[in-house]
Amino acid sequence: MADAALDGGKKSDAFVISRAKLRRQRIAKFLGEGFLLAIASFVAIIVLFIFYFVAVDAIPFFQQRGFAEFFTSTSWYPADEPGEFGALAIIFGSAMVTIGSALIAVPLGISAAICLSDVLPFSVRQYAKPVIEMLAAIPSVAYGFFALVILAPLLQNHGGPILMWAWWLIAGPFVLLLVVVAGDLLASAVGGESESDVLRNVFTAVLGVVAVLFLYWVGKTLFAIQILTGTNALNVSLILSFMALPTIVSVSEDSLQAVGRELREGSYALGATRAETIVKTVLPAASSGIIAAVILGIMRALGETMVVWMASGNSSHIPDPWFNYLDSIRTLTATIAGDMGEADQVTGSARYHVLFAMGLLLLCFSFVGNFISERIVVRQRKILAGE
Amino acid sequence: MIKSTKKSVVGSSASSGRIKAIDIVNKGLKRRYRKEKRFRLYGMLSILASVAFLAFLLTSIVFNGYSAFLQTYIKLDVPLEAGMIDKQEPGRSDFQGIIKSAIRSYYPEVTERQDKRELYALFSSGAAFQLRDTVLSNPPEEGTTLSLWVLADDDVDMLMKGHMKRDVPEGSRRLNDKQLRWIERLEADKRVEKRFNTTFFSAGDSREPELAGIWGAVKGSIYTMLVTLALSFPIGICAAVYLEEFAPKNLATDFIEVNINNLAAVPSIVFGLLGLAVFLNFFGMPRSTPLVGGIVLMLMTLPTIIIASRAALKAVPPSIREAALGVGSSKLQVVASHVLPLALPGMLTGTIIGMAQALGETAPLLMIGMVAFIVDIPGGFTDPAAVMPVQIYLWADSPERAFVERTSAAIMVLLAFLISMNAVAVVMRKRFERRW
Repeated sequence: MADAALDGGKKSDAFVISRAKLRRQRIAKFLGEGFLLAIASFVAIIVLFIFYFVAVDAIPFFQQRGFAEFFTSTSWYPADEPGEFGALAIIFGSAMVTIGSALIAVPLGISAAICLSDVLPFSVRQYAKPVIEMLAAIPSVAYGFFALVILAPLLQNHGGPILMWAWWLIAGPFVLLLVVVAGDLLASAVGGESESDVLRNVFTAVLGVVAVLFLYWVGKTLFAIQILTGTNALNVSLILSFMALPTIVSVSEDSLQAVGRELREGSYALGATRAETIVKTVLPAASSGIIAAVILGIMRALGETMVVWMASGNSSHIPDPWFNYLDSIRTLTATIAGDMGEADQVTGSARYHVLFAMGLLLLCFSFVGNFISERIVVRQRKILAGE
Repeated sequence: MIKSTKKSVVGSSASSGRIKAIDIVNKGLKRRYRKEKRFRLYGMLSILASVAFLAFLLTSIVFNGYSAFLQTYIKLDVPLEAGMIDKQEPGRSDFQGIIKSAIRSYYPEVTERQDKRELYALFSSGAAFQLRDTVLSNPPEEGTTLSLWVLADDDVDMLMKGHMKRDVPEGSRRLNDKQLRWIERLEADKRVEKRFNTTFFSAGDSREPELAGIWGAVKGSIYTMLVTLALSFPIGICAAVYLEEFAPKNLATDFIEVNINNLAAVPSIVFGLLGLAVFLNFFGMPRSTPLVGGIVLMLMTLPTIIIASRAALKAVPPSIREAALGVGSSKLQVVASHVLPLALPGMLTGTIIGMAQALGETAPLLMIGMVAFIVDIPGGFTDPAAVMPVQIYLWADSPERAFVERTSAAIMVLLAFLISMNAVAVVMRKRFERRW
């Protein structure tokens, strides 16, 4: 209005804003932004909402039965009268498959991420990446069916040979690598300065024979193993590891890409090979992002329900010995999925509330995991930006 | 970038007798190149392992399931004698009896009660319904003989598809020797045929494998996805627009952002617990309906949609906003008429991916009772319904061999949906991706 007056009385309507119009605009702005804010905060409040409602239904359980039984007892007989609600074996089962899947998925995922980001040429990469992402698009119930109908009978009927082949394929290259390195080290230790090829070859050969004998012996032992049930922790860990793989690969690849060209080129300029550049320069710089990727992948394995419910055997006991992956186990998610149908939902029995207690436990795990991974990512971003 | 030449670095002075740095480098060079090669190999192996796993999974599902698209039919001559069809109400005639008498007339030698029961077991219980539909749609003359291709029982189906071996001892197969001989006679008369399995695509669930289909589940999935889409798309986009365009940098905004990430990390089964505790027990919404399922899945897809939409909004360059502001638009006008249209393809891509996730999700739906055995095909948002993944889960639990192949086939159908949705998303991203 003031501007219009400055124009020496010449009124051009297009630039005149009356007080009423201005007020209307302000109100529209206020309403529009307020509406958007309301929706955005609704999304944020959902999380608190989930936490609140799960906790409200979990607390009656702890009031009725206390904490000690839930966390320390392994006897899970919710259907008895009075029931026993020891969830230790179930928590242990969850931990077992999570760790098992991490053991497979982490090395596989990180080396795949490195390969995708630094090793493969672009032409191969653009086909390899969608294939790995497709692992994430397959629904969990399809994985569960695969584990139950195809993998479980396979493990049960040909468990020994499969374990032996897996041992040869996984441990074989690793042990041979060890032999080569040890041969090098021994040769330089014995031969001193005048390290000769002959000496090294002899050492490598001797060690190689020992290693092959060792591989053969373990393989034979594995071959003799009879797997009693195909629906066991190994089966589930294997499937979960491939389900967690896309998460680990894509997040670690992002963080490898975030390490700029400068660091890589600096390393090349100093004469490092590509492998040395990646291992000694890029990986340390991207380590925090990779840790975040691993945490996210583990969370995915921990929260997965259908595969474990269909293919873990669902027997709530701690395997004997405790690291026996060929035994059936039961996990938190599977227990929630399986027992809810039978739990008396209306009267609010302990049997109903204990499942919410398990949900609360899962929720806490996932929040903590998410919090840690987020901190790590933020820190990496700050460090990279600071340099 | 490094060429793995086997040659040593130039300038070697091995002959001069003094050890120089270059010699140390040269000595290690071969080993370092070997290491480099091994390193590359490990990366390739890990990618190959995941590709091989994926290939194994897909091929085993296809091999298990492709035969479910065919179904064995048996040609049955149904003589319609006077009085068999009710004149007043043809729909209420004893079709089961007519079918049975037709079977008996083809096998006149079977007289024992037990044998008759085993004979009837070769034909599906759906044969009577087929006859009923034929009679009702096209009322035949009395005294004529209807020639009808009826569904075979799932055991016969498995036998014809080779999943049941004929040469194993009688005790370990589901059809006994007598039944095998009857089937062989049908085969000799060319009365057995495998045809495209239309039932699979048009029927709801059933306890009889040959009568079970996925149409009920597909429809349930469609209703559920509609609810999810209708809720999560507007909410997700509004939240993303606010966070990206309007939100001031303060604690409240940080809180919202952290919680969206937390929402993405919540295990899916917990969403089911929420649905059970809040929507079913607190609000008293109807059990196992697409409405509740859609709301629960909406909560799950929101983070995906919001994160993708924010990325799409971020990709719109500030110069567009500044130009619009420069010609006098208000902030809302800038967003509504300039930023949103440009970011929309990216947002849609994110939404499609989120929908694909929701379509494949099972666990939370088990909690809200969508796991019930539902024969009827749902007709609305509040009818009890199953969705495709839950249907797959239910069938995977059934002991019959015929359900194994139907489970695989249903997985193939679901995967076809999911993969084509993801492919659409990828194509859209490629097509509308703009370089500014």
